[in-house]
Amino acid sequence: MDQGTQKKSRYGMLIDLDRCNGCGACMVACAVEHNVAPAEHKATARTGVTWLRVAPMSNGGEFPATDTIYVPMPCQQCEKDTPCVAVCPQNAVDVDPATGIVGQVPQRCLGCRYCMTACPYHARYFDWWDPQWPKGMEQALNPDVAPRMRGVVEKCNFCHARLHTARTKAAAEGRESINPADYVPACVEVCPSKAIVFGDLEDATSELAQAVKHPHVFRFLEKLGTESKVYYRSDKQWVLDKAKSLQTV
Amino acid sequence: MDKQFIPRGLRRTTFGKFMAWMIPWILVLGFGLYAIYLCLAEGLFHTNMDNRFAFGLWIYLDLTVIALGAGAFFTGFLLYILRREEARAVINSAVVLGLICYSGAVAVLMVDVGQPLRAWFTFWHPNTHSMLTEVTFCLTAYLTVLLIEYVPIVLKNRKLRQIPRFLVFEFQLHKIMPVLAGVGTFLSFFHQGSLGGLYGVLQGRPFAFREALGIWPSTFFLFVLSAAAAGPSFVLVMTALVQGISKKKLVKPEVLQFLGRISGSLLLVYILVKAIDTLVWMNYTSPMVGFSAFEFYNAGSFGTWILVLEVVVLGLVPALLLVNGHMRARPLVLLGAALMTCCGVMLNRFVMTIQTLALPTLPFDAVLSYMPSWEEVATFVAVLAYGVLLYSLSFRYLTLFPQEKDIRQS
Amino acid sequence: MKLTRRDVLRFAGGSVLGALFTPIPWKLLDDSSIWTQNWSLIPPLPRGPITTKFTHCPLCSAGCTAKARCVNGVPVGLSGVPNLATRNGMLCAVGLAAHHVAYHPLRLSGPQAFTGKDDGSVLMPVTLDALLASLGPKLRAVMSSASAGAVAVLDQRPGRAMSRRYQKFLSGIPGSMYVVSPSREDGMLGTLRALSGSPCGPMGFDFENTKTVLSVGAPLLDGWGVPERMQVLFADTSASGKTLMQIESSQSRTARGATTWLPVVPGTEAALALSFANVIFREGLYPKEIERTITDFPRYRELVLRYHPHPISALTGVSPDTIVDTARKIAGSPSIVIAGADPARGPLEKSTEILVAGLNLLLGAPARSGGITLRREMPDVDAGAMPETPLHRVPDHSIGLLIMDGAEYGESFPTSLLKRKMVADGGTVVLLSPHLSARSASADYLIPTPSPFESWEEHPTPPGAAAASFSVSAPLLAPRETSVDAVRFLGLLSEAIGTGTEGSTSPEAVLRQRSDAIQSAGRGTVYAPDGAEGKPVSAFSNGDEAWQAFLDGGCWVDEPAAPARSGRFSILGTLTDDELATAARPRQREGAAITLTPTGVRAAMSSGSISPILSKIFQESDLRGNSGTALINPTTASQLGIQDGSAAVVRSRKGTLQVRLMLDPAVRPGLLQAAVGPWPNGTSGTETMDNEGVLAICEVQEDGTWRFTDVTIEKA
Repeated sequence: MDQGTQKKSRYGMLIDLDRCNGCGACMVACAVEHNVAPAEHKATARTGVTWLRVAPMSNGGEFPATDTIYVPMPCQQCEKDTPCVAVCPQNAVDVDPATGIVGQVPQRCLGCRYCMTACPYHARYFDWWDPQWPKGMEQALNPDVAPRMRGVVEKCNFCHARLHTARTKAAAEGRESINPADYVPACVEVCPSKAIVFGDLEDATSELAQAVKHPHVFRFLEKLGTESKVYYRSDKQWVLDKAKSLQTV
Repeated sequence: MDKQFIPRGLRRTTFGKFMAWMIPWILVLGFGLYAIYLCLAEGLFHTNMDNRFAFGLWIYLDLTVIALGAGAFFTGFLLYILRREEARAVINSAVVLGLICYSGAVAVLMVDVGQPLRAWFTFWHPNTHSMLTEVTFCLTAYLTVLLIEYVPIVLKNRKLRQIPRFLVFEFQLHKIMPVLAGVGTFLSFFHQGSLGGLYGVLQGRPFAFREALGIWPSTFFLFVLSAAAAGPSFVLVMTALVQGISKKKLVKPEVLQFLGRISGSLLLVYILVKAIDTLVWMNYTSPMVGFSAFEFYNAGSFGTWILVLEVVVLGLVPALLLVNGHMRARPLVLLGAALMTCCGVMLNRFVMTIQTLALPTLPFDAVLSYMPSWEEVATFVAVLAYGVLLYSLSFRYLTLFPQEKDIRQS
Repeated sequence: MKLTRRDVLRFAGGSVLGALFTPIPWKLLDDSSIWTQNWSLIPPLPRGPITTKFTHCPLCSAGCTAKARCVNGVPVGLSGVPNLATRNGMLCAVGLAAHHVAYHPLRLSGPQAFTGKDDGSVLMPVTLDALLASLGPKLRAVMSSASAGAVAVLDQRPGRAMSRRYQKFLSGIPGSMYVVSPSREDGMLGTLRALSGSPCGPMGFDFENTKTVLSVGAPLLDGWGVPERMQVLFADTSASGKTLMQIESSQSRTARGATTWLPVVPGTEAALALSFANVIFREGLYPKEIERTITDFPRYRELVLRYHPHPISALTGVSPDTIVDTARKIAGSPSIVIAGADPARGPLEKSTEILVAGLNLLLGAPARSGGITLRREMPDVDAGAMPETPLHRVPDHSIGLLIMDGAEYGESFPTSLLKRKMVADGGTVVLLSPHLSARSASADYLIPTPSPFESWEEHPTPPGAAAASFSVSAPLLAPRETSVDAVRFLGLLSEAIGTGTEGSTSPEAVLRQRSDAIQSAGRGTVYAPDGAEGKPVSAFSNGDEAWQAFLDGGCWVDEPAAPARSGRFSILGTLTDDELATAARPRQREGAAITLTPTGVRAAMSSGSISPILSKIFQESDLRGNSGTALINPTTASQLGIQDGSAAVVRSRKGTLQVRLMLDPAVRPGLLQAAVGPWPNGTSGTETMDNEGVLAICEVQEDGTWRFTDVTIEKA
């Protein structure tokens, strides 16, 4: 099924933190796309399932010298020594060498949550409850993504179903590789401030590959050496300082 | 009414008193089983774990009881491999303790995972790079070893000995005991280490991450050493506890002193290695990834005091007490030091599991807190109750302390 | 043959061993793992033909164009339609899941009635006939007795063809009132119209051609107007070359995204506006002709000259230099001054609104391009519209029977405000809404209208738009059998009181009338949703063609109004000297306790009106507060001895509320910002129904505003 699309890609993102205003559209689009169930009554920010989470980050200044940005945090798609891959006892996590996307196989997952403790970005979520939709809403589910069962870990996979659709389309049209315009993750598509650039880092001509060269582009926890493929940009000095200094407390 | 089952030459309390002791524990076990049912049938939302605190009380419990349960493998190692006959006085008790610790840990793990019915996937689709795979394999294998080691103790029961086939079987098992002890030591060594590696490999958690020696992070060896050190101490403490509760002398004082000496020497080595490891981590590993080590000790209520408490108060101090013959000779000091050793290892496991997860990694993270839910605590207590019940049964009907009869007769 | 125990054991052992060589154990193992992967609690996915339909988001007045991906005709996903000439179609977080609203657990299953008005009253399902039989006499009684109060309709979405229906219904009832929501985003434009000396058509903001926008609290970058339009124009001001200056007490999302933020002491916005005017006067920055067109110019001038930036700086917390700079900026380029507030915070005080609106007149509105402009009236079916009265301006205890259209729509208001407007015994309240909400608790009758995407919806001009527009959403889902649409309900009610029905009887026909009116007016252009070139209305040969264009998702945009000569305006309106004297008083009294101010997200303040999936941003993350969370400055919190995330009890004169306090340095010290948030997947109906959250403890002032309430906070 992958024939004709063997060209190696390294999909990545650049999120412009100065454009993001924390509206949450990406989080909602992501949940709709991936059939993530609505929260159980008792779910909280720490038990909820959001493949993409937008977290506020404050400069710590006192009023009115305060500033806050919003950091959308999908799976960072780490490339080197991917922290979650090595720890999974039953190969439920893998990195696709053709795309660089870190995949999670919920059907294989035991729910031990070791990968969650391994992930420094807290981008992995456990299904603490049975997924439940209000009556009738199951007919409004996305037909392309299987819902996950209780007791497994799930996370962002750069909208793998959309990649699959793009590949099918390319194959049907007899093309060797997908048309980049056909593969746009849900969060990128809906962002009202167009804060996210998505693309192939391997393709030197792509907008993304060009854009990540900017000196104000950084990655979170870069020194951990995980070579994550989600880049961030901000022209605010305090954001750059905070991201690089790793001062946590 | 159960006199015929009680080993010859031993005195045990009346059946009524025994049941009075057992029933409360059975109730506690039942309560715990209810909590376990809730978690298995309805989901892990019954716990207070969450996406950030993905490991909680249960993993802490697993790491701790397995460290303490190391007494079983280490006593076997002393007896069968190093031929230290002093260890024979406690070997049966140690095996039962080991069995309790390991089976309890495995049971809790089965509740802890979200899909226990898929547990066998680890054997079917193993990821050989994962420390948890190593842990699962060794844990399963060693639990089997412990069960086999437990069988001859059970078969020695005077009622069961009346069946000739069992007697032959028991005799055969005895012949392979040194082999089992060797296998057990090997397996134990590995999974104690792998449990340490579990956190040491987490490059995303700079507080836990350690430099690798060969293919294992240093915590692998630290866990082996600390478990070996704590194991005899735990056997010592438990023996003293059983002596206290049953109001009987079960072993000769030299045996306990012997255990103390072994524990103390190993602890001293451990503390030394731990100190070196900590210094390397503080000055090299942690700063390399951009975290000043002391930053971790400024977070929340985790001050440097926790390090001092672990390494000095509950490490160096009991080690020195235990290696000193004069101090060791005083029963209270011996017991106290052994208890401190156990607490030190328990604190170490707490720091590795709970503190690691509480500390932030991202620049906008906060220090987290976690308080187990009643279901988690009840499950924990159920394991305790299960241990008390199994040990009490074994103590009443099996020969756990071979010296007991001699001491009584002398 | 003698069977020994040993044989049995051997047989058993052999069987076990032998079974391992059969598929049975392996199949069982396999099946059990497959079962854990697909157990019965996981719903099957919809299968069927996949189609795409264009529609418009029906959840708020923006009416953003949306593309619905459907399986078997049922929408399974919505996405915006970018670069649309009409409504810059990117959907907001709420709109992206609008297709779920029909399945919300808080939906009404049928008509309901309260058994009584006392505390022990319960909501009971009734048949529609029984409901009408009970409501009809009440309506007749209110109509026939002067002391029983007036009949009123509270229309939370004025400007629709349906609104005209309500007005027509009311026109047959003497003394009736047509009431609109108290906190409309274009409320200030209404104020401006009222300041006009002669009848004046609708107004709009010419954001496209403006250079500078000075916003007094309007959440321009947080869902205001057509959200995407504002985002494009003002989020990246370095690209658009525009300047956005935000005057707000705390650092809101808009304040963060604005070019500059002027943190103002709460309640001193009017003084600040007068001080800007002071600079403009002293430096002669206003167009000279306004000395003629503003009827009370000397009075205004005399007033303004008292507000020198220096003393006002001390009052408002904004430095004198900033006041001077800001005034020069708005006077030096095409600019808009806009007053508004967070959608939960309600309207501004009348004096503040007038004084801020007046700055526009001072700068030459409404004749100035890039400022406030006049727009044409929407082509209409019936003439003789009734005047719109915002709820807070309705005389107290004057409504005897109220028909509320929509539970909440965009903005929210305290139930106590509604109660104050009803006659002393509470009168009768009829609520037309698809779902239960905090508002349901104050209703006597609940009429279950079809849910968004089940109903025929229309999208008239969004608030503040510079040109009129209109689009239609045809239903994508079949309505429930028990649903009663507003057109049918009005018809039945007319029958019940014997006034009979007139005209069309279906919502579709009502919309078709509006479409026909647009077609026969022959003005403007209809833009197809796929971004193709627009088609002039004059090119449609008949009403059917135009209607089809609307059904296909088209959007009509009116021609711009011809530049009008500025008429004569009173800049101070009916404000008395006393009102002016108190207008500029700071809200936070010295040594006063904590000031509570509500905050919310537009179109997302009622649990039932949004998708349950919105729990992702309201409940499962710290992105937006839900009902029961409140933000407080860390300094204030530490003075109170309160920690982040801890529970607290907030006490006002109206009551107490348990909240979870979150520390946020962006909140002004001394303020408590409590969320009027939803509980999106609220499965327990009564809980959500009875609990209007922080609005329940907000004090509604004499003038009907509830921006600020003095409270105390205690640790829970």
